[in-house]
Amino acid sequence: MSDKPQLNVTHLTSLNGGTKKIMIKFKKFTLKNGLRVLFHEDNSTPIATINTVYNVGAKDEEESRTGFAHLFEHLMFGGSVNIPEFDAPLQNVGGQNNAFTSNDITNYYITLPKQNIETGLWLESDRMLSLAFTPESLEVQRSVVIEEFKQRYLNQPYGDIWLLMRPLVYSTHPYKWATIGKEISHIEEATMEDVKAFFFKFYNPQNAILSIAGDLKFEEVKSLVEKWYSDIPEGIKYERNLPKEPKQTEARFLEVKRNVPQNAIYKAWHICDRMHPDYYAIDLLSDILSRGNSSRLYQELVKDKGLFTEIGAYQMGSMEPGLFIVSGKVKEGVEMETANQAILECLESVKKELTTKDELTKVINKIESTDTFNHMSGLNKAMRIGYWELLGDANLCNQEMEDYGKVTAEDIRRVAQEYLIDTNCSTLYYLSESNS
Amino acid sequence: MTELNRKTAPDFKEIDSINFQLPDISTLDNSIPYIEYNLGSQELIKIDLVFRAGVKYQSKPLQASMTSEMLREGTTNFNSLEIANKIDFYGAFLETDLNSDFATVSLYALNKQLDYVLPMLKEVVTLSNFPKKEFDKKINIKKQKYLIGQEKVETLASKAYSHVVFKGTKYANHTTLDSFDKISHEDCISFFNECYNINEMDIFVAGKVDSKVKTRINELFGQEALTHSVPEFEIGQNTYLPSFQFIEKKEAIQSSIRIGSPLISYEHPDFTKLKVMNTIFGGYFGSRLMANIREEKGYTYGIGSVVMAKENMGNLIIYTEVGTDVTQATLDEIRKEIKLMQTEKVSEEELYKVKNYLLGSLLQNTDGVFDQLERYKTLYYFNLPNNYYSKYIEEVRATTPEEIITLANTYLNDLSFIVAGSQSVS
Repeated sequence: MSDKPQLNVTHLTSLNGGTKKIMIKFKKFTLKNGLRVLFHEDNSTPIATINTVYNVGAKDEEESRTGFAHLFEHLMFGGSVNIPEFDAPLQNVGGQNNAFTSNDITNYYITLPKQNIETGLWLESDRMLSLAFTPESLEVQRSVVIEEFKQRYLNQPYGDIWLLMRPLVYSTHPYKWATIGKEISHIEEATMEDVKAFFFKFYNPQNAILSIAGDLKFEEVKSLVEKWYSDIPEGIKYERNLPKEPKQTEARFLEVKRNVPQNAIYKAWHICDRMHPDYYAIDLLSDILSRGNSSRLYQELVKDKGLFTEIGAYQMGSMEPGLFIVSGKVKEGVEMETANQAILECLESVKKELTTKDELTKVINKIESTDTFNHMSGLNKAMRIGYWELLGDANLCNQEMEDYGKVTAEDIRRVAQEYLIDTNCSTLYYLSESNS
Repeated sequence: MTELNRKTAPDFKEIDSINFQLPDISTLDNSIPYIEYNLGSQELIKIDLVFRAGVKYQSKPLQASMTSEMLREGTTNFNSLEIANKIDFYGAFLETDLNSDFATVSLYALNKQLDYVLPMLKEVVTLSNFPKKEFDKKINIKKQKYLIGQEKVETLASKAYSHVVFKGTKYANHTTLDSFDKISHEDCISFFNECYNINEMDIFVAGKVDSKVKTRINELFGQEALTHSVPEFEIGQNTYLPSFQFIEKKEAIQSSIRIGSPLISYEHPDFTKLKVMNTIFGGYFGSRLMANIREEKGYTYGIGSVVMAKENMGNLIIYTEVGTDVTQATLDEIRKEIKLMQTEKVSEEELYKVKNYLLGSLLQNTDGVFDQLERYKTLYYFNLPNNYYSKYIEEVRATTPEEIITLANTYLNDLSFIVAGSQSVS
């Protein structure tokens, strides 16, 4: 969820994929206050990127104060301790910026003409130092976020699906609420004290990674970063200790009726975390099922049987144990049970038979070409090394393609058998009031 | 060491030029235009085939979009699955894009895979046969999406906007639920035969392009003799009249607002400076509309104003989604901001910021070979001179506060107001 609308930027999904042939080369250093800094020299562009990822997401919120990480992201644009406005000075030097919050991270980025990189570092470092914390800013951003809640989740057909799915699938882990929050009242009740406490808990150099990409020299970048970031107090290190989700032992089911024209079905299975070796096989399994028009779910359920008008499968890619999702809109006149069974049958076939060599080559080829496209963007590269550093080691981003390449047909069958089982599944029937 | 001064912005440099490069322009043997950007940093390539097959050429609603979407659904030699398999297997992407004026068929591929997928590009633009079975599935899916769209206030407002602003022209959107029953696969065949004529297309190639690419494309597309047959076309007389429309959508908790009018386009000498005026008003995150209605009042998640240019006319759109309870207040504030633009001189400081922002955007929008190609297409299709972007920089820099007032009075005028929501406003 990003802070500002109408900007065409790369989304989180582009963090997936990698290659052994095209590397992102970078240099790393750490300031005394604990801030980790990565720099990727890129001579192909006049634009520099400054990306800052904070190790805080909606999962770090208290259950009685959800939506806070995201509300806070909005406040980061309301002026910092020494600079009354964040956007105007950046616009003045030809720069642009945005941010997004997920359940795992809060990510801020600036793109600007490389000669003006210092303006970006000045602005970004000041809001890491401290915010202005004006009551006006809190009041306004509170309303903006409430309107965002309405626009994206309540006033949209199917908009509340994740507000329903998350608590169905997660009983304990904080992934059970969406980034926007459980309910509007949590945002309405946020106080300035809450806001300050949140800032000082999470927004410090030890809990952040700064990654920079552009046609600049390492020494120059290092000295500018030292100039603007060295005097920021290190703060207290945040130790994450989240409740673990107990193993699901029986199938869960929820049915709702809404004013939508078409029935929809959502199915979710618990899977591994991002760093687990099964991650790549699961990702390729989702591609085999639903990437491109030649994929299995599309061909079987949309084209051949005509049971769905759209269908997709993906894994959430979250840092902690995540979800494998199959979701689709059911064609008018088709029984929900028939639609559900058809999905299960399609999954049964990947559990029984090995995928062919061609099918595996196909999804690997697609990942390789997508990855090559992603390397064209400086923003993408800066975001990616920062994200991997947060996962544990930025170098691993250059190893992803190799890891995909190692996946075998047996692996794909095995993960399908292991994870996509009934007792591990939650199903949502999202029914049209007019159809039923 | 002296203490760091965090209160004052560091020195910066203005943008006075951009590195916009012109492509290599040539033709195939049969004189089809071939435009190539060989600037890529990665081993990949994009090929765009552009046809004069946009929505404005259709004789009934959905004809252009269904034809474009059906291009991957079957040819005389391959069925839909075979096409998808071939493209997907080589990690390529075959995409179709449609706007009011043009239909584009794009192929993206890694250089090493290009030879395997290029023939499929020719296949779909020359031998598509629009199987009825595939058409029926597709139209049903599209109908479902249309019905979902009808539940959104923004869809209702946009459509009413199109009726009002493009009235009398082929740019007005006349799609209704009925249209889905009145369109057939035969309509696609006739539109395809009429508008997807390779004799009339332009070929754009961008990426890391080696010399064999043009040879290959020439073998595929350059050998057939050209027979020019531009379909007759009239855009129609725009009979725009400013109006106010309220579209009721029961139970909506937000209203969608669209405000606008027909406008000048690239050919008009005011166009660049008009963009400067619009940027101040509603064209960027720091704009007057955003500062007032989002950042000060908190009425909305987003609001903006855009100057659009289609081939035959331009138009202005002010757009936002706001809470039902603040819809009237938002309309009043928008009117107030328009008045302010027309009566009070913008400060030098604000104007300077907007100029820098606009030139920064231009720099960002010419970053990378695909962006350069898109910027060039604007020159190509609007018949603009090759030095257009350097003139643009000069004109942006030269814009004065007095000119902004004049422009606001000339162009933020005779506007129509359209609101879709649950509570009537004025």
